Amino acid sequence: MINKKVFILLATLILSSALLGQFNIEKFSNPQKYGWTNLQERYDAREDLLKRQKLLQIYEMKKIPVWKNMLHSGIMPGWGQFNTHSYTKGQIFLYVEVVLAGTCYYFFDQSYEKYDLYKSATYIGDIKQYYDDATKYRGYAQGLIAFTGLIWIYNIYDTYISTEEYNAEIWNGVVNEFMNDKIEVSLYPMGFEVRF
Amino acid sequence: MKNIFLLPILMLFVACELSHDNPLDPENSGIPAPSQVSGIIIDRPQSGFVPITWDTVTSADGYYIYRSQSYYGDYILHKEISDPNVTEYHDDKNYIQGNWYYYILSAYKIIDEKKLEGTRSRKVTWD
Repeated sequence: MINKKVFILLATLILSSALLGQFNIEKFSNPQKYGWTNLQERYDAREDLLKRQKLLQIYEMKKIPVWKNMLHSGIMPGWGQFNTHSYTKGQIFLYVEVVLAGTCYYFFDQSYEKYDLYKSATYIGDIKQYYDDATKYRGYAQGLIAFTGLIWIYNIYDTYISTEEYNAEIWNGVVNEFMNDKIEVSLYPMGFEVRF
Repeated sequence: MKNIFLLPILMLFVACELSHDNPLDPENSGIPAPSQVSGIIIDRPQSGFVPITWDTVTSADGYYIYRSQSYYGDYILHKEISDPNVTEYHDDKNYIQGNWYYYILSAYKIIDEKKLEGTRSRKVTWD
């Protein structure tokens, strides 16, 4: 039992001496490699690093996730633009899509109405006329559906662009405020506080 | 990304055609509608009726006679003749002496107990 303890102690001593031989304590503790010439500069650098970390956290909290915003626009056209404060664009997308969807519905309704008349018609003239009308209105509706779909996809694409721009502005704003040193940031587990 | 924009355009060309569900539609049944009634002659009213004659329409199972009191008025179904061999009708129904009457004729064919009406004739009256 004692022999075993002595063996472990000896092995530890040998291993430690070998590791200490390779480890350069001067290089590790040399503050010159970061450009610090005195202790105050080291403290300043640490302070600066902490502030930058806080800024990054503020940015992460204030920025809008791109895919989440695109999903919003996918659910309701213009929603993503509203989130990025592009209200006019958001309203245009919303109104255009509502009007197009309404017009689509009208033409489909007309198409079904004419098709019902076609199915119950007994006069050859009515049969041909109602079938042609039903096909015509259905064509209008399908064309508008395609157009509505294009606008809807473009709305999602525009949300991607708007969100990227919005996030870039957020980042620039945070950095500018930091550079002007007019900002005092306090981070809490539930949020943050900014004092000007 | 380009494929996403092409998707709605593809949707446009899908299911564009409506089905011909009407059993009387020649596109569905393959049975053509009866021809337009021709050879219509309407003589001046005599003895309280208007004599109307026309040519036989082959493949017809009967005829419809529409009547109106004005040329551009509503033409109401006035008489149905269910014998395809009859090509004459004396219109004395609600006839008022001195009035003018205008007529449209058409032939019909029975398909699955429903009547498919062929193209209607032009509006005719007596000279």
